[in-house]
Amino acid sequence: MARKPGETIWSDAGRWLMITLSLVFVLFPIVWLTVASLKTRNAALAVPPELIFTPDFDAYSRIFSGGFLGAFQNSLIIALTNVFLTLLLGVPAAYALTRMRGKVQENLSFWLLSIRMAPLFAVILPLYVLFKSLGLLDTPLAVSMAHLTLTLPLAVWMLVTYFRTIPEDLDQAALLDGANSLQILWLVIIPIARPMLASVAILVFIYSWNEFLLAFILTSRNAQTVPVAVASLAGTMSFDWPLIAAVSVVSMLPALVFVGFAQRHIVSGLGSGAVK
Amino acid sequence: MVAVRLQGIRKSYGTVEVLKGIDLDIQDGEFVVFVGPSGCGKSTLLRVIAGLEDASGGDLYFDDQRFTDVPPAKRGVAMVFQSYALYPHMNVADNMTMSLRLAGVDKAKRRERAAEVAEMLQLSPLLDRKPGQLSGGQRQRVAIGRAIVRNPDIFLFDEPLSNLDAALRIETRVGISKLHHTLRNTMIYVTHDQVEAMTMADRIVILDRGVIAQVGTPMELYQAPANIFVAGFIGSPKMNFLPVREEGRGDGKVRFSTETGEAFELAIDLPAGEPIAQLGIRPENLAIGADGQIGGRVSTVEQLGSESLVYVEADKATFVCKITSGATPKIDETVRLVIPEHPLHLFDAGGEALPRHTHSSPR
Repeated sequence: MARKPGETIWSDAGRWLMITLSLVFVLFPIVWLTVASLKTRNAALAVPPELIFTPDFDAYSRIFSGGFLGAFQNSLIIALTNVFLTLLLGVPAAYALTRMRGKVQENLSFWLLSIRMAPLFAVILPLYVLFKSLGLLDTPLAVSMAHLTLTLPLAVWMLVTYFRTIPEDLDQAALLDGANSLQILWLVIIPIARPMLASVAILVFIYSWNEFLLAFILTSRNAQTVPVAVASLAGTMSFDWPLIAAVSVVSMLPALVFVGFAQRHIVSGLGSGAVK
Repeated sequence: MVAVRLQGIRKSYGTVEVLKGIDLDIQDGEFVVFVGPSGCGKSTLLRVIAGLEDASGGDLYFDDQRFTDVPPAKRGVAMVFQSYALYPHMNVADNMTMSLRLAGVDKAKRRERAAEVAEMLQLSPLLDRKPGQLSGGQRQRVAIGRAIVRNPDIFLFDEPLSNLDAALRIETRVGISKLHHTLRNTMIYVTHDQVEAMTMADRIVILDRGVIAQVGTPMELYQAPANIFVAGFIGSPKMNFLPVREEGRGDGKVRFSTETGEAFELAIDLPAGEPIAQLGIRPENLAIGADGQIGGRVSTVEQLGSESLVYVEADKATFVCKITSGATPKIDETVRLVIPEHPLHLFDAGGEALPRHTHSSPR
């Protein structure tokens, strides 16, 4: 890292210390989980922990034999459905909120966000009753829609902030070019907002992928997600620590792949050159 | 090519009335410039013509057909925005031909048309670049190209030069004038810069707080401003104003006194009516000489090469004289200002120009 004028070796050292501390803070649990997943059941709980050991892949093979693939499939379907629905509904909603004038629009975006202010428990019971009467309990769709109630306001809020930075001259230029509102959104706004759409997709995916409480309440067997499945491993009598660790490690992979894929769309400076 | 008629156009935002009833006829193929200070309503008026703003009242006609409620895309107008408003994710060719794409024209034809217009604007090597890779002047030309591609009846320009540097501004100004000469379309151009207005316009519309202050050719506005606002707006440096009290008139002469007690007489022949409250003298008509009517002290001298601007503090105000020949006075020198009898602009207490008898001859 190049030193700026006026900075001493101490400001460099301070900066590196902060970076190292944050990295340790973030990465330690992951490293620890990965190490634990490669130990035997006894070794995993040994105090002091063994630092040098022969890795044991037994836990990973049990993921495939132990019926976890279904949970992975459910999680993936739920998260992707949620991402799709959030963007499908959130993008037009946010666009309308930024481009329509009036008191109603201002208040609407506030009320949309207000659902996030309520504790989750206030939402769970009504949702449970609702999905029960619709016959959707224990289906991926129910969990997706429950997640949607939380991710949609978040997405709208983020997108509204971004859409406001896109000059309205562009809409009007497109209007004069003969575009209707949907064409303006599709041909002008969405391509410009691609980095933000990618960010929203990442956040929504990660939320859905890791969400526990709603998935736990709304599913029992068929639609169980990975976090719920992991929790169910922690029984009262036995505690299969390597398996829990292995599932957790594997469960990070789809999220990493998705984030890596989406992140390619976050190209900075795409919006520059529109005006001036 | 289309003639435009505005009839009682009004526009309000809530309780704020931005346009207070605009009546205007624009001839087919005319280059009309809307000019005025910030907030005078010139851009709003342009946007009403474009259809980007709905008028709160009044009607808009293109060639005697009512267009007040026609959507923007169907009006046959193309607009060049102050910000250019280029689509940042599209290359130059796609930017220019977006309207054709939306009209369902196939890709090969679009490319052909883009190449044709690019040729005209010297943009040919840039067709595959994105706006972010272009200079300000190039972006400006792409924005103009996008308007030309549509082959509109009316071109609308909303302060298109204000983001360019001085040299490029003059170059583009000339370019737009040439374009009008080639295409012969009706063009409406908004600016706050009176030099742009004077140099480009067939006719200038001066707007002041939502009403038309005066309409006329650049020379009409320069030579016979209808009121003190127009007189002060057109011309650079600004016209000098001398508040006076009329002490008496008759016999083709009017006697004046100023606030500081100077008294003088000018041979002005004008019909009976409102008393003169202000004299307006353009810097190029204000001379310095021993027989001047009011005394003052030189505060600043600006040498511009072909001419000098002399700032004189007199009668509690600063007067500017444009001197093109002879000796230039020094700073702090005491001088006398010669108020000409012609061309001299006369205004009543309300700021309206007072008409003089047409037979009054130049000095």
